[in-house]
Amino acid sequence: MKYINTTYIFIPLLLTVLLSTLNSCKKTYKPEKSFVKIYHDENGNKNDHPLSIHATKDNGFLILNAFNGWNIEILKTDQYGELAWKYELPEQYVNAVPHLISKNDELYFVCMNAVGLFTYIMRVDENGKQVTEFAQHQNIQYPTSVLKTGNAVYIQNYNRISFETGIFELNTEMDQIIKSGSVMVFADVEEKIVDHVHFTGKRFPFFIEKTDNHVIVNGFNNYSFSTVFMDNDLNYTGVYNGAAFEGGLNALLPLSNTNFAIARFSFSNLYFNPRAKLTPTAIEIAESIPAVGMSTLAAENPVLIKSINIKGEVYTTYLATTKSNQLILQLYQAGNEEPVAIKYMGESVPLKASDFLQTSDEGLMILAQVAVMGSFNRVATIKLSAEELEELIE
Amino acid sequence: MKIVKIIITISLGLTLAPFVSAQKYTVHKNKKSYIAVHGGFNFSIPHVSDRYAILSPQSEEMEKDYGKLGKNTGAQFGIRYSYNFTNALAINAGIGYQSFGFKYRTDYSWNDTIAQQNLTKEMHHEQKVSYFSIPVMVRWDFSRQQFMPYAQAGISFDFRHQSKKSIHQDQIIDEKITESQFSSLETADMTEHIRKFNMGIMAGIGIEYYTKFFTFGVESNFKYGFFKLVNDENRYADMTGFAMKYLDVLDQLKLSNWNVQFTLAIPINHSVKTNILRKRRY
Repeated sequence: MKYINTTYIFIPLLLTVLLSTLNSCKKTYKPEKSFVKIYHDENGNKNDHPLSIHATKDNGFLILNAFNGWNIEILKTDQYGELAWKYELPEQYVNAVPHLISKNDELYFVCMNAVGLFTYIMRVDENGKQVTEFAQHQNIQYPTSVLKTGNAVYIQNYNRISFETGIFELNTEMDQIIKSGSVMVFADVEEKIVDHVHFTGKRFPFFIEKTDNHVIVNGFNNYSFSTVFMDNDLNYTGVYNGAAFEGGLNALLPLSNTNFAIARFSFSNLYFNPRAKLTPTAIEIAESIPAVGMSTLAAENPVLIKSINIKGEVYTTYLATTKSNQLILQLYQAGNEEPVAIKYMGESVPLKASDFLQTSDEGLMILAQVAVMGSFNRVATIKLSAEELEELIE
Repeated sequence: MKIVKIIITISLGLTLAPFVSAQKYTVHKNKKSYIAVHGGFNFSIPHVSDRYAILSPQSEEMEKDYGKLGKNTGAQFGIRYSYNFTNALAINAGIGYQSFGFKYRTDYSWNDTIAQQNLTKEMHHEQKVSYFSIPVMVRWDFSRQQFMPYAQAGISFDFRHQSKKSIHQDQIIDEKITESQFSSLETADMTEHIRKFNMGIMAGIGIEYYTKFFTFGVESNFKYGFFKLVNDENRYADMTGFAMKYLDVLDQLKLSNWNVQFTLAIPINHSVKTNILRKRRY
């Protein structure tokens, strides 16, 4: 009987332990230092073209997105990439210029009136989870790029009346133009501009960059898509002419004096040079800038060049898209023309580079367009942790 | 409930076994050693602690729908040594190979009202995780007759061997695998997504029949994995290539496991000489 009494105790005990483990799942989603997020929308009609990403003061991120052509949407995420809110702008606000700018801890972007084609500066109200009109510039038509450096804000445009590429420096309040300059365009580019802003044709890599003594404007000039150097008073000093509209610079990052990291295109070919020497007073051909061909990369997609810091060392970092629609990240050490690290991302789905930034935790946040299920273009973020970046360069 | 019924039935059977058996010999195992081989099948129960998702924002409809116990099948086999301190109390330890499975299902839909390009996707995810395991258990016998019910409990040290994941994708959301020209099956290695080591507590019951030369039986054990299964360090590293393609990232979970296995044991010294079976005196 001794054995049977033990059975009576042991088996119910065993059953209790067993049944107590058959609990249900928790419902919490846990954050990660590195992640991949795709911002979901069940609307199959929607076609997203992410433009720019910027860190917010709460360590989250703000994403500027164009959808269904030139319509504009703002997406706010937390630091782990989870969507916090999104705001679709009213129909009169279109053609967001692909750079978010920060002033006094608030984020702004530049867009256009759908009918008058003039420029708005919009302020993102993070507390109100909306976007409000901040300033209007009636005489800046077709805005194409914006740059904020220090207190100076520059806007590039195309003036369809005077056939000029214009560059405007705004005051610190961004409501007045304090300087302006322009270059003439002798070819009919309005159709190209219209295709650009509607996402119905080639997207031109318009940009503005600034060095100590020069403002660099990448846009239409004479009969080509060119890189124009201007002095601080926005007077023309030199140019690197593109090959009509099928060659020119994709991206440029000033390094020091006359040293620049550049990416240039010639028809469907893309070339990188992380240590190009450019002369601001030269009149040259962009295709004559020495650079290494990147045969696997797609020239028609955005190329981003930024400096990032890994373990205290600065790396010139290129983000581009391959012809097979993967992202490629190439890191160059200062003074080195060979990349120290190359990372491919998205081998299984089509991805296109849009923007990237270094995060406060020394990771890297990449903004991309992804074709979900190979069908629907959506906004995606890919966060690489500081540890992953360190592994890259080891 | 089905699992609970099975467990209660087995428990009752084992409880009543001593009463219903009228056997000729009693078993004397004091200070004796056995070596046994065992093999059988198992069912897993995932306990999800943290959910992860590629799509944001997540809705309840898009959450992973984990398969019930009966669908999460696996198998195991091994060899073990046991030593009896008394006729009722023994310790056993061995080495085994275990394969656990767990499944979940996801589905998504996109509605295109303009171009009528609606798309629905249902994905059936199956994960298999294999370990080399070292179980160490204490066993208590409830009887000394030839049909001997017993209970055992202990710990198991599990060392990851490999892990694979397969996704069957189709375009009909019906909670079933639907084969068609639009369906596909893809398999990938996900070993690096699984932690290298795990440990669990085990408890089980069984019944054995003793002859002079060997012993055979059937037992059932429940194991509760102490540690998290998935490697948090590389969750989004996408070693399967499935993250963006199938919108899939593993949740964090612990795995419990219920197994049924058959055993065949022999005494290390010949049973006749060791005189394990002795005639009943009354």
